[in-house]
Formats: sequence, C-alpha cells, structure tokens
Amino acid sequence: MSALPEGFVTLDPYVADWAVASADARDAARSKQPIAARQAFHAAMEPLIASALDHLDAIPLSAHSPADHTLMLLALSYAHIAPSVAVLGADDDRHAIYRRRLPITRATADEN
Amino acid sequence: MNAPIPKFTPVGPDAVAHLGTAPIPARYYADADWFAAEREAVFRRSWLYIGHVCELPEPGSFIRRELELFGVSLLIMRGKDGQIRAFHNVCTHRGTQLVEEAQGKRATFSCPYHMWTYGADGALVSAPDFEAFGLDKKDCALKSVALDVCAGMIFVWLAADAPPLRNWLNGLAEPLETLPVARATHFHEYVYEINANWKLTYDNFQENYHLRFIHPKTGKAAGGPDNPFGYPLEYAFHGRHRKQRIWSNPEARPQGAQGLAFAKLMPGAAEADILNTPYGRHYFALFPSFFMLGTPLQNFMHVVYPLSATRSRGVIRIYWIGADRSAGERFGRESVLTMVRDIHAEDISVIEAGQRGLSSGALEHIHFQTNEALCRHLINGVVEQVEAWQARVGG
Repeated sequence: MSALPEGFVTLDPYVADWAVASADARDAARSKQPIAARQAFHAAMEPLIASALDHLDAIPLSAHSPADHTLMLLALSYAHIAPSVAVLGADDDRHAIYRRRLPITRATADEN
Repeated sequence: MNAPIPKFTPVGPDAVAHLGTAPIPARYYADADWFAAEREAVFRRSWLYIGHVCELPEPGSFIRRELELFGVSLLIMRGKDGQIRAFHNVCTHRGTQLVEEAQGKRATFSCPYHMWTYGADGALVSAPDFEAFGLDKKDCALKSVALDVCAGMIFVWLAADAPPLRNWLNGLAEPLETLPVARATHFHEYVYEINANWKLTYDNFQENYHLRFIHPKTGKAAGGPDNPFGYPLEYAFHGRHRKQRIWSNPEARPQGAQGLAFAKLMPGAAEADILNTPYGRHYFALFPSFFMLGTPLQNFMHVVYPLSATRSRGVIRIYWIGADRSAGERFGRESVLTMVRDIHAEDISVIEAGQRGLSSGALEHIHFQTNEALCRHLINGVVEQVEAWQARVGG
C-alpha cells in the first residue's frame, strides 16, 4: 500500500530518505545523501512538484491526511534538493560542511 | 511595445567622496584592545536588535537572550499591561539567574534559590521572610534595561544614556515600518558562529564586489551585461546608518523550482498587500551590525553579535506575515530559506580566510573601493565613536 496519495505512488521509493520532519533535518538529509541519490530524487520530483502542490493546495493544511502530509514533506525536501541539483550540482558537496554550520532553528513548516 | 530597459549607471566616486579614500588600518579587524574599546563605545552605546514582538504574543510571554559580549543575560517580557520590558535575568537578592528556559509564558518569575518572586513588570511580588531584610519591595525590582520597538523589532541599549530609538534611527524608522517585518507574526531562523571579526563578517554582506567570484551560480542573477558585479543603484547615509537601493537584473527571471516557489508566495503577499511597498528594493544597515533586505518575498535580517575580536555569532531571520496558509506557500517559504542559506554557506570560508590573513599581522592596511562604500561608512562610524568615547574616559 502506498504511503502517498493516488497519483504520486511513483514517489514511494523516496519516502524513507526524504519525507523528513523538520527543515534542519531536511537540510541534513541533503548533506548526507550522495549526489546520485539527490539527482534521483530530483528527477522523480521535478515532473510532479507542480501537481503535488496543486493537490495539496486543494486541501487546508489542517485537513491533510497522513498520505498528504508525507507528500508535503517530500515537496519540502525538494525545496532543498532543487537548488542542490539544478543550481549547485557537484559544488553542493563542497558547501555542505559550511551549510551545516548554519543550523535552522525555526521554520514555519515545523510549527504546525 | 515594451519600454526600453534603462542602462545601469554605477555610483561614481563623487557620491561617496565625503567618506574618504584612505587605506584602513588592518588592526581594527583583529586587535583585542581595539575590540575592547568597541565593546564599550559601540555595542554598549547602541540600540541592539534583540528580538521581535511576535515572540511575545501575550501578557506573561518572555524570551531570554544572552549577550555574550557583556556576559549579560536578559529577560524580555510582556507585562499584564501589554508593555514589553527588558530586565537583567538576575535576582536582586543575591544575583542568581532567574530563568533558564529560552522562552515561555509565566505570570511570575521565581528565583530557585530563595524564592524571591517577580511579576512580568519586574516588580518584586513576594519573598519569604522578607521582613528580616529591612528593605522595601519597591527597591528590589529586577534591574531594567532600556528597550524600544520599531517596525515590530525589539532593541535594547545597555548603557544608561539611551536616546529615543526613533531619533537614533535618523530617518529610517518610517521606511522600516513599511516592511513586512513590521506586521510579521512568524519567521524562519538560522544561526551560526564564525571565526572572524564582527566587522569583517558583516562587511561581506555590505558589498556586491565579491558576488561573481564567490557566488557564480547562486548569485548569477544578481549581475548582468552592463552591471557584471551587480552593484547597487544608489547609496544613502543616515548618520551612523546607511542604505542602498538594489539593482534588479531585467534579464533575470526565476526558473524551475525557484520560479514555482515565488509564484506560490504571490497570493499571500498580495493578500498582505506587501508587493508594492516603497522600500521593497532597499537594503537597510543599522549601526553597528544589523541589516535587513526589504524585498517583500525575502524580507530577511542578519545581525552579527561579536564574541571576541576574532569570533562572532550571526542570527538570520526571514519574516512572514501570517502562518503558512497553504501547502504552496509553505513550499515557497522553505524554498526562500534554502536560497538565502545556500548563498550564505558560500561566504563562510572566504570570511574566515580573510580573518586568518588579517590576524597574521601581514598587512598594515586594507582598502575599500567606491562600491565598498558601506564598509567604509561602517568603519568610519566605529572609529569616530571609539575615539569620542576614549576622549571622554581618557583612554
């Protein structure tokens, strides 16, 4: 059974690594995962991100089902991975050590 | 038909000639004695950003803030009357620190040692066997610290002679009050420590000269064919404070996930009516070490708190009006956090490399060009303030 809403089951293989509960943990996942894993997640998410947000936007945040919530977490991880893959590419690994020196202590997504 | 794009005109040297062009002594960025003078002359005698009113939503709400530079712990509290006040986090009985939590809500604050108990207005409410002291409770209130608020931002002044914040801001209070921060209810935050002098750290964010070299990918949109360095359109000086008007690259359009993020932020920004604010392309620098970008979808501030001559702590906050209203807005806000932080991560190593060079004693002077005028304005203000203080105390 899929952990995700209908239409997004192709993202199931990425849930374990990328459906991460806090902004700082999402950044830590970005730093921990090798470039090939980041590229694979990016490739899977890129064609679905607009429709995923459209699906989630149709439901109030407070009414998201567990599957919707998991999809939301994948979308938030994509917010970290899109610049990693599409902007920085191989340079991202070099900057990871400095990024981890900037811990995220508060994010709106973590608050509710 | 589209209007022609005006050609970029850089700020010329005449516009900043009043700041001088002389080399700057390198010791200002590494010397421990100079730093000790800055602590007293600059940081003890300036309004320092300490928090935001949204952190104190109700009577009894409090935040604890450490100013390591002074070994000072502060309690910022909202009283029953709604007033926000700052106190030293120190029991007036025998000096014990009252509160360990970083934030919370309480009607009273009790010292764990002998249970002296204070109200959210700092007054001593009760103390066991108080009659044995022969004191008057009204003389035993928490020691207050000057506090004032502008644009929702809370500032404190540690010395005894605080001028009104609004006067001290020298014309910048009104522009700041037009920014989203003035109505913010939520924020993102990240923090860092860096092995660098506070001015060296802060100056990195006062000039665009480095962008094309340090941020060739993340900062690519900042420059264009007729403005390859992404220099600002204008500098303005307000006493010790300063601002610049940021140039917008007419060719740059956010693409991919970045474009989607900004699109998802637009409905909320339109609803909050922040898209056409008059200072949306301005950068505000408040003396000594605070800056804020007025950009409505990235209204972020950065404060550098000195820890020693060669070590600093930074706090970055991106302010938002309202909680996340939708999944798209949540995605957009997290994307903005990622964009800001990715650029910042690229700066850390070069700032620390600068400090190693300056601390080595190899240089007597450093140099600022026309488009590093804000860095020169800062050091000019610091030197004036330190020298005036030294003249007063005979240092």
